[in-house]
Amino acid sequence: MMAMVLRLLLLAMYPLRSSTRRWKLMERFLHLNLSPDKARSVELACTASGKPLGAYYFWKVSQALQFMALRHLNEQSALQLISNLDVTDYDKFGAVTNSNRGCLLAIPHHGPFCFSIVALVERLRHKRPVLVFYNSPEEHASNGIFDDLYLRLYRDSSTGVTIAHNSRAGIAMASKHLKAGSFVVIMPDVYARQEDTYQLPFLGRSRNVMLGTASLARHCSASILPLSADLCGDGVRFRTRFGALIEPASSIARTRVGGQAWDLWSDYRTTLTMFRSLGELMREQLFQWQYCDSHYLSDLAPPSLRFEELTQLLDLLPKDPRVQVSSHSPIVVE
Amino acid sequence: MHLTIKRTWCKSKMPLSTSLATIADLSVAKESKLLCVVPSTIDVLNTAADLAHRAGWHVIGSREFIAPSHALASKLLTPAEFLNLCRMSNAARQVHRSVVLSDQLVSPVHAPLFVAQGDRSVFCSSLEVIAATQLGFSLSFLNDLSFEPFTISPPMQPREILGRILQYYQYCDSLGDTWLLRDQQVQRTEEYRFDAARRRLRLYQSVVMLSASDDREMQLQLPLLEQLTKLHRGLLRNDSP
Repeated sequence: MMAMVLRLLLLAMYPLRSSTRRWKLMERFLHLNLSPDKARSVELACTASGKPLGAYYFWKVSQALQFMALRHLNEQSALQLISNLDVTDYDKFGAVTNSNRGCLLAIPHHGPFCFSIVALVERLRHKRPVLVFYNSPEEHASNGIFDDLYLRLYRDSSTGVTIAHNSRAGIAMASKHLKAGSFVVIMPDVYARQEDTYQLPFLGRSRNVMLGTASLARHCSASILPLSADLCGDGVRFRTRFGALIEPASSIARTRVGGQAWDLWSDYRTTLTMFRSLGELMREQLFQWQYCDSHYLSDLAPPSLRFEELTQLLDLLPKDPRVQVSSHSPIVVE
Repeated sequence: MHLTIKRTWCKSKMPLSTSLATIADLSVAKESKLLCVVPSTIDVLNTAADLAHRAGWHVIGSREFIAPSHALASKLLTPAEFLNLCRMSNAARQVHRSVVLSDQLVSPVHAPLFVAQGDRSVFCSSLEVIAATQLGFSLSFLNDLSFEPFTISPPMQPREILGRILQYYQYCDSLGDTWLLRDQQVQRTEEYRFDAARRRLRLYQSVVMLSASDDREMQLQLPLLEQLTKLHRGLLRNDSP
């Protein structure tokens, strides 16, 4: 019934999909708060996916209706709705579920990702325990909606699902689950402090990323499955798309000297592979990414230098005065 | 950030530019080496642009903050360029009268001296100290609202000079909206420097790792990555409460 209502409501919005101009009234109605720079970034994301700006508005209307439905439905009705709207081909997913190893399901804030997560959890939780890991709503305000949904659905531990927020205790719990062969759902495209991130090329720009997903996988000898949720053309149904399974670089290759740096390189390389895969999965519907309004404001992708060029920088980079900060022993002036 | 500034100095009767012009005239008469420390306001920048086009005058600042179309842009010297000029024996005789826009010298390259006064601590530029203690320049500060320049002559102690520079920052702050470099002064703070250094180190680490195409290449670059990682860890320790 709810699926039908959503379908009818969105049917009325179909003409919006082909609009090429900005609709300030629509933006106000949807609380989009698009500054001129952000609007430009969204337009570039639409262009990169070969869609007009209206596709972004249509997606946002659909998202608002989904969230409204989830707020008003009870647990069983919400699960029924998600099941009815899911048109995912799960054949590729079978191989992952049949393995006994721990696996990180890396899903970005793209499309109806909370629907995808629930659909996956419902398929997996009867086979092995699942942990859903994300930043608490206090740290990441937009997580409030699915935090509420997951807690309603999986508060009871007998469901086989655990909710863990990104904290020291949450990371320890995720590590324990992975080592025991469980699934951990993680959202790798988010960070709290830029100072803690590394940069890599992503969809034509530089993206700040945390290496936590790769580091967890390496520590727990778990694999990573990149996946992404896409809203279908009707604005109601959704499809989860899967990338190839990633095996983290092994720590066996650690050298005695520079072990930490080698682990860093391993995690960076794994993260690079994961984001390449996510980029491929998201490319067709980039405007459905939560960060599409800022991604194209970022710098161009960081440079990849030739080996000889890098060798020349060996002495220079660590001596750059911009990375040498010392506030010890200030010159005291009366 | 570039400041786009109209060239209006000839129409301006603002006291700051008048004061700077007065210093210029006095300096010409005295034939002494003088470095005028002035704030970046529209009228001062325009007067400085005029001085920079006169023979024997130099204006020092940061190109980051002057629009390429401004009359000062083509004549502006960085601190390094100015010091090189002073150290060239033939040119040294020519360098007598200079203006430094010290409020533009906010980057770690230009402002390396960490100075504490009471409960305040900021990174200050070193140019004024070098000019006064090693190159024999007198320093003239516009640092109170009476627009009377305060000049100190050698011999000077570095702490005395730095104390004057801190007063100059306070004076700039008192200029209200006419001071164009207010938002940039955060770069002098310890917190900003640490955050910026961490971000830059992470960028360098990323470039090193991105550039290595395989384990063999990475193995060769490992000392560099290790060094950068160690520096990053050092910044975390320094910053911890």
